[in-house]
Amino acid sequence: VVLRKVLPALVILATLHGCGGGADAPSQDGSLQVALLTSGPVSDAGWYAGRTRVCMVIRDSLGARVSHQQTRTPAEFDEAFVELGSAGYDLVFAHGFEYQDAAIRASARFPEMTIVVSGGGRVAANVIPLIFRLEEGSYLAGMVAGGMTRTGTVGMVGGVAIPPAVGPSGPSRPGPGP
Amino acid sequence: VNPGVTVLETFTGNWDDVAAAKEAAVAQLRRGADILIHNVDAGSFGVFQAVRESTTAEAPRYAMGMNRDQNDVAPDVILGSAVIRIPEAFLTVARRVLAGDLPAEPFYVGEAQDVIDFVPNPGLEELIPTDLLARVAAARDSIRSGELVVPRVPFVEGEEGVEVPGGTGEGVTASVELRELRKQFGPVVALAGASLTAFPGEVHALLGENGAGKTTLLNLLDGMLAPDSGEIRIQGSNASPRSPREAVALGVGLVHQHFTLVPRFTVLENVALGLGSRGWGLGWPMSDVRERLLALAEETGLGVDPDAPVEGLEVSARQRVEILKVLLSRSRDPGSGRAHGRAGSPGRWSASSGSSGVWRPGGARSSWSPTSWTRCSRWRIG
Repeated sequence: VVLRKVLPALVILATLHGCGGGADAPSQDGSLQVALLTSGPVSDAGWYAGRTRVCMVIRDSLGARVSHQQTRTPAEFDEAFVELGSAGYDLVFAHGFEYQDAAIRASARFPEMTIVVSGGGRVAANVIPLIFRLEEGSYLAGMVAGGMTRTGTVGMVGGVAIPPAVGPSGPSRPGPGP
Repeated sequence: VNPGVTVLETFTGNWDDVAAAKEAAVAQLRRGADILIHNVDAGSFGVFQAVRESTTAEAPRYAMGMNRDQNDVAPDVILGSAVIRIPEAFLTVARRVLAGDLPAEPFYVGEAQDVIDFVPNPGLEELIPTDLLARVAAARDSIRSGELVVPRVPFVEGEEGVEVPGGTGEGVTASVELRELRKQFGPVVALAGASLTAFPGEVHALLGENGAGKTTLLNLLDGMLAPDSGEIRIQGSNASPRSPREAVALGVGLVHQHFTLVPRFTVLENVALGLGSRGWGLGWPMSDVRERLLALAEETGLGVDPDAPVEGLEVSARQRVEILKVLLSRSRDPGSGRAHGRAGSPGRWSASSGSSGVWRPGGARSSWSPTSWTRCSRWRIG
């Protein structure tokens, strides 16, 4: 019985990594408590890279306590939101479209916690989609590609065709230039 | 910029398979692409490597970075990167939260907020013609001032055409609605009041033990069998197909568990046969069928070699051929295929790691994971 109570606590400690030497545990001093959730490896070259800088920037600029968790499955997404909500976190950056349903599920239970879902599509009182207009950058990249191609053919290699990924890639077609 | 440019598009199905991304990149380079854009995250290392290995002085090839400034990842092949300055975006949001000033609505960040940008690679910038750089800079200014609005595919609640999930679903017509279907074979009742509703973009798995009636249900939908009672509605109208051919005309295709492919024939010949059986085959030029097949394979990501004999293919490849056969026969038919409209709300759409997507011209989309794929006794595209 004791083990059952202790084990989840250990799991929480094991999965809540501090950011750049930041706080592992939520603060008691009233400063903003911010968590970052990612579902992929932070070692890659794109979407997840630079999370350490994310944590540091928010910590240093706002004096916030910041932690990071990597969660892989929808079940872990739900668990993470419950853990963070129960621990009194103010703000969670759920960095990916895949978090949106779990965020909606957690929103009513933790109305004081703001969940910002990168590339999310769903809205609730405390669930805010953060929409990056990457199409603006890929439009310019498309202009360069369209202007530089000698063969008249440009390739686009995409990952998963989720709506936020398809959104930007469409206008990257170099056709509709000025 | 250049309306004559052809864009090849491939989705690998995940974000971190470097080998798959490289393979896709190599295929695009072989097909004549000399500039590769990507949105495949860690997979981009494969894209850059493919470009690096194929570039020559006579036929230079380049790539574009994406999501973050990747110019230093492959400084020898990247012309520039479309970047998201994520820390700055998060900081902006966190400030708004602190100030209690973040309304419950989507928060957009782009060029105007300096969160999105295009950053030329300083090492290769000299390769880009000055006038092109000037036009890019002018376009960047127009975007920042709001003068130029870059279109995006809407997917966020509140954006045009995006339905709010959890509502009544009004306004979205079910692709397929089976109501109270009953089918009896002699004394055996195979189905006693079976109902099923499927909306555009959904994938349903039908599970049941042997004899539960799964096959019967799908045979009713496919027009192979006629129901004793009940109703079949397709795209909202009452349309009980009386034969598989009628079902195809209505936009229903069935991929059979036991393949209906001729082993000695090639993929292309099998596909052509499928068209023939539905009335367009004879006299239909083989080159046209090949072209359509390759275009559809490209569009759906269901890769096949048209000239491979089916008998040498593994099961998954045969399954792909069957699906392409069904989709191709539908795409030939006026009034089906294209009439399905937009995919359902993002909330209905599910993706799992390793899943693939199927694109249809109408914008509806299905996805499946390899496990559900093999577990489903029947599979179809809603």
